[in-house]
Amino acid sequence: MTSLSVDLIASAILIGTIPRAMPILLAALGETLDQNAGILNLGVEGIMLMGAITAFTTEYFTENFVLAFIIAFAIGSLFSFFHAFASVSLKADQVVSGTALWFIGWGLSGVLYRFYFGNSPSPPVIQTLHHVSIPYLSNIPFIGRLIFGQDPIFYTVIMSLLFIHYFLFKTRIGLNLRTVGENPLVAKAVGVNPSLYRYLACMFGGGMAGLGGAYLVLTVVGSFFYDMTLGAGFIAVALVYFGKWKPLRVFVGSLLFGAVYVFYLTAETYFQYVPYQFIEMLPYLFTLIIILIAGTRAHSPASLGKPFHEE
Amino acid sequence: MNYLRLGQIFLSSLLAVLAGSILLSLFGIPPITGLTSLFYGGFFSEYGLNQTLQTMTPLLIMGIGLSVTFTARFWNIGGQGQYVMGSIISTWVGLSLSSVLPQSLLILVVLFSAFFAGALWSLPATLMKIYFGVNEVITTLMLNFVAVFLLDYLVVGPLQGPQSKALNAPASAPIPAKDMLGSLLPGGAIGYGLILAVFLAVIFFVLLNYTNFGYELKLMGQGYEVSSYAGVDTRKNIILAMSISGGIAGIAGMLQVFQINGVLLPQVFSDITTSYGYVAIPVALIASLNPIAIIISSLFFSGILTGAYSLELQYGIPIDIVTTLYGLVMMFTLIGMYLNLERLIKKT
Amino acid sequence: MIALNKEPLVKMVNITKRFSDVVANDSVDFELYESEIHALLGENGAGKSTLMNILYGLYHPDSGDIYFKDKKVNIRNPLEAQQLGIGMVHQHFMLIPTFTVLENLQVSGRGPFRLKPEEMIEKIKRISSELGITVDIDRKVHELSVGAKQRVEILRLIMNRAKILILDEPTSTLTPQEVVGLFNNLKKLRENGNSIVLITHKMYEVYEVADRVTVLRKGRVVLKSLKVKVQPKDLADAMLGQQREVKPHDRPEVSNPALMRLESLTVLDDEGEEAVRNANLHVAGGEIVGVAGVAGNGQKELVEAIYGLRPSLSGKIFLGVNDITRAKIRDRIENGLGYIPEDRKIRGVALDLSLDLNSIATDHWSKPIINYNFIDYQKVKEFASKIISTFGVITRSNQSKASTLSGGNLQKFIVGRELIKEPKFIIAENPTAGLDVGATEYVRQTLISYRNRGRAILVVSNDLDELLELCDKIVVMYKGRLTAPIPRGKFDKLEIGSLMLGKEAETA
Repeated sequence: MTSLSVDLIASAILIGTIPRAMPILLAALGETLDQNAGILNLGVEGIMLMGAITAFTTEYFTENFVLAFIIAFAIGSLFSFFHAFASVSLKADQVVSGTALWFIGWGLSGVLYRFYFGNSPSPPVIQTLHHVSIPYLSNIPFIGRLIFGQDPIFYTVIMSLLFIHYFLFKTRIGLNLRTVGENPLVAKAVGVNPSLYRYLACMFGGGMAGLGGAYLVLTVVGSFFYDMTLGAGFIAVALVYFGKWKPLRVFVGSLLFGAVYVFYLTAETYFQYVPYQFIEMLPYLFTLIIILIAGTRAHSPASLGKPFHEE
Repeated sequence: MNYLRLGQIFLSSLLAVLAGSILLSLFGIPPITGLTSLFYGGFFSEYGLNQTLQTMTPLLIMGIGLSVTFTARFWNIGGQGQYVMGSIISTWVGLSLSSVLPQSLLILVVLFSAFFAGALWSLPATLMKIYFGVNEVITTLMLNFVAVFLLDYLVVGPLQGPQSKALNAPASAPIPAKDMLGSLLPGGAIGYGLILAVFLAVIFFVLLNYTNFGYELKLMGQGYEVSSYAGVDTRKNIILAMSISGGIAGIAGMLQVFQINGVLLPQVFSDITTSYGYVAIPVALIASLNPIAIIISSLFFSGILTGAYSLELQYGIPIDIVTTLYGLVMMFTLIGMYLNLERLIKKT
Repeated sequence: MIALNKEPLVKMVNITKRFSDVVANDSVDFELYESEIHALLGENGAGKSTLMNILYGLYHPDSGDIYFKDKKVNIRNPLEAQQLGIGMVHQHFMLIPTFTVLENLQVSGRGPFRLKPEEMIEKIKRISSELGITVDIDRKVHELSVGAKQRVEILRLIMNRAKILILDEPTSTLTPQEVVGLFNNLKKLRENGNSIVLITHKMYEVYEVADRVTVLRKGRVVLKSLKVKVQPKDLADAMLGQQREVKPHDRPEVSNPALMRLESLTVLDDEGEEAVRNANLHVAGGEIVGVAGVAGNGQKELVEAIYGLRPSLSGKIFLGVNDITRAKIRDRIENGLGYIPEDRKIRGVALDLSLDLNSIATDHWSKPIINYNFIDYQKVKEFASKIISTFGVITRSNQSKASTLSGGNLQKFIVGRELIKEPKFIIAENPTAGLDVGATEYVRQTLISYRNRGRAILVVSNDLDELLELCDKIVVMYKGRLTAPIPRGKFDKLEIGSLMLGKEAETA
C-alpha cells in the first residue's frame, strides 16, 4: 500500500471534484430557483440528457462552444416550458409531468444521437474546453490551479451562483418569487403574478439543467453516450433539499458530492481490494446520506408541488 | 372506471404514438408506414405477439405493484432495484437448493425469497420517509443504482457460473432446466408468469376497491390531514403497501430469470427494454392505477416495445424511440386528463 | 366628514357575478365617497366579499361597470387596483408566516429591483407614527397576534399609497378591546382623507364607526343610507328579510356529569413549546361548552390532543369512564368521540373522493358496512344517502366528488356524518365559519337539538358572538391555560374579552 500522497489526492480533487460537481451544480441551481417558486421538476434528468446531446451536436458541427451552451439552455427551457404548462396552467400533477419529461428526454436524446452519429465508424469525440490560467493567482500552490485554473464556464457558474443568491434574497423580484413558492394566493393579492413567476422560474431551471448536461459533455467527458447522466438529475434535486433551498448551501453540497468522485480516481491506489462496482455505488449512497441529513427539518416552500387554483 | 375517461386515455395514447412516429421520418421512414410496421411487429406477427406477451408479464406484475403505492401517492420509483434484488436472491436460493429440494417446493421457496428480497429492498426508503420525511422519489431511485451495481459485481464475482467464466461473459450459473417454469402453450408464449400476473391483477383490483386496506390507501392519497383524521395508521399502511409493491417487483425479477432467461444476467443501465421498473411507472399511471386496466396498458406498452425492435431490425431505427414514445404517452394522457376542465373554464 | 357634495370616488354600476349556478352579485350598485367609512352589511353569503373582490381585481364581473373618479375602468388584477389606490385586507391574512413583517411588506408587484431595507424601515416608522399603528418589523409573522397581523396588513395598504381601504370582516377574530383599537385607527385614517369599506355582518359595528351603510341580501342591494338616518330595526329587517325568531334555549337535565374530562392536560406544539398547560375541563352530557379565545392560544393543540391527532405530554383525557389518553383515534371514535374540524376541505373530507366514500371516513371498520375487511358498497350508498337526506345536503348524486359541494353543504355533510353515528361527545371547531345564514342556522340548531338529547358538545371558536349565542358555559383559553367555566347567566362580553387578552382570572 502506498502511503498517503498529498499530490495524488490533490490532483484527484482537482481533476475529480470540480468537473463532477459542476453539471450537478448547474442543474441544482436551476432547480433551486424552480422550487423556490413552488414547482417541483423531476424531469431534470431527461433535460440534462437533451442538453448534452444538443450541445454535443452543435459543438461537433460548428466547433462553437458558446453556441453549444446557448442552444442547450434554449432546449432545456423549451422542455421545461411544457412542464410549466402542465403544472401551472393545467394544474396537473407535477410528479407525473416531470417523470414524463424524463422519459421523453431520455429517449429523444438517444434517438437524436443515432440520427446524427449513427453511421459513424467510431464514437465521435470533441475537443473539450481548455482550462484557462489566470495569471499570478493560478500559481498559488495547490489551490491556485484548483480555483484559478479551471475552464471558463466554471467562472460563469460561480458568478451565476452568486447572482442567484443575491437575486433570491436581496431583490424584490426574488422575494416575490419566494412568496409565490410559499403561498401563490398571497402573492396574487399583493399584485404579483404567480403564474408568470412560476413559468419563468421553471424555464430558467430547465435551461440550467440543459447547461448542466452541456457542461458534462463539453468539459468533462468529450463524447456522448446514451444515459450518460446516470441519475445526476435526481441527485441535483436531492441537493436542493440538502441545501434547504438556498443556493450557497447547494453549492457546498455539490462540492461534497464531487469529492466522492475522488474515491474513483484514487481507488486503484488505495482501494485495490474493493471491487470497483462498490466504488461506483458511492455517489448514490452518498446522496442517500445527504438527503437523510437534510430531512425536512428545514422549511420547504409551502406550496411546493401544489397547483394554484385561482378564482 | 369512467367510460369517458377510458376513451380519453385511449385517444391520448394514440395521439402520443402518432406524434412520436414523426420522429420516424428522421430516419427516412414515413410515419404511417413506420406506425403500421410498429403495430404489426408488436401485435400481429406470430413472433411479435409471442414476444409481447412475454415482455408483458414483468410489466404487468410491476405495474400492479405500483398501483398500490401510487394510490397512496407514495412514489415508488425503485421498482427496478426491487426487481433486481428479487432476481439476485431468487437465483442464489434456487441454485443453492436446486439439488436439495423437489421442484414444486423449490419454486415456492424461490418465489418467497424473491418477494422478501424485493420487499426488504423497499424498506429503507419507506423508513426514511416515515421517520425523516425524506422524498421517496430520490431515495428509491438511488437504491436502484446500488442494486444494479451490486448485480454487476455478483455476476462476475461470487455468483458467476462456470460456463460464463469460460466465455468471459458475465452471468450466473444457469438455472437447471428442470427448475425452469415451463410454458402453457407450445411456442412458449403464455407462461405461468402471465397467468399469475392476470390473477394478481384481479386480486389487487379487489384489494384496492373492496377492502378496508384499499380504502385507507385512497384516503392517504388524498392527504395526511384527512387520512389521520379518519383514524388511518399511515405508517403501518405505507410499510405494508411498499412491501407488497417491492415484493411483487422482486417476483417479476425472479420470473425473468426462471422463466425467460434461465440465467442471471447483468443489467445494462441504458437498456430500456429490460428496465421494467421504470416502464411500469407510465404503465400504472395511464391506467389510472386500475389493476384491470393495467392489463391493457402493459399489453400496449410491451407491444410498442416489441414493435420498436422490429423497426430496428427492419429500418435501423434506434430502440430509444420507445422511451420517447412512453414519455409522450404519459404527457399526452396527463394533458388529456386535465385539459378539458381548465380550457373550458378559461373560455367562459 | 364625507364630501357628499362631490361626485363619489368609486361607482360600481349594475355589477352581476355568478359562480356556477349561484348568483353572488345581482345588479349591484355601490358608491363610495372620499373621507367616509362605509359599512357593507349583510349575512354570510350575501355577496359582500365578492363585490369587493371585484373592486380589488381578484374577480371579474360577468356584467356591469366600475367608475373611478368618473372614468370607466377595467380592473383586471390586484396590481391595477393598487395603481388606482385601492387596497384590501382579506379575512384570511395575505401574509407569509415564515417571513418577517419587513419582508412581507416588501413583497410587491411594483417597486425597485433591489430591496432597500433601510428606506423601507424609515417609511414604515414614519407611517406608523403618523397613524399610531405599531408593528414590530423584525418578528416573523407567525409569532404575531391576530390584531398585530391585521395592523401589518393595514400598514401595507397605506404604504402602497392606498386611498381606499377595504376590510373584510376584520373584527370576527379580535377581542372587544382590539376592535376598539381598530375602529380608532379607522377613524384616524378617515380624517386623513382615506375611504374605508368595512365588510361586516355585525349590525352594531355600523353604529359604532360607519358613516353610510349598504345592505346586501342574497346578492342584491336592499338598503342604502346614511347611518344617522336608519333605525336598527330597519337594518335588521333589511339584512335578514324577516323578523328573526328568538329560538328558545332551554336545557335539558344534565345527565352524566362528566362525559368528557380533561385532567391537568399538557400538550406541546410543533415547535416543542407548551401549547396547552395543565388544562382542566369537563363537559357533561346535555351541555354545550365553549372555548373562547384568540386564535393561536393552544386551541388547535387542545382539540388535536383530545381527538388523538397529537400526543399529550402529561395529564389525562377521559371519555365516560374510559381513559383515552393514549388511545388510538380509531378507538376513541369507537368509544363515542366525534369531531367536526375547522379545516373542512383539508381535514374533514377527501376532496377527490365521492360522497359515498367520504361518508365512511370516520368509521370504515364497523359492521354492517365492513365485513371482515370487505366493503359492502350497497350499505355505503345507503349510509351516504341517509346523511344526505337527513341533513339536507344539496348534491347531484352520491357519486359526486366532495369538491363539488358548496361550503354550507359540505359542512352539513360533515356535521351529518359525524352526528349520525350518535357519538357521546363531539368537538366542533369554528363550525359556522364562512357559512351563509341558512347553513349557519341549521348547524347551530342541529348542535342544540343534539345537546337536548343528552350528548356533550365542545365548541371551540374564535367568534365570540357565536359562543355567546350557543353555549351553556364558556371557558376562555389564553396562552394554553383554561379559565374556570363561566355559566350562561353570567356571560359578559367585555369581561370575556379581557380574559381573552390575558386578564388574570380563576384558572380551572
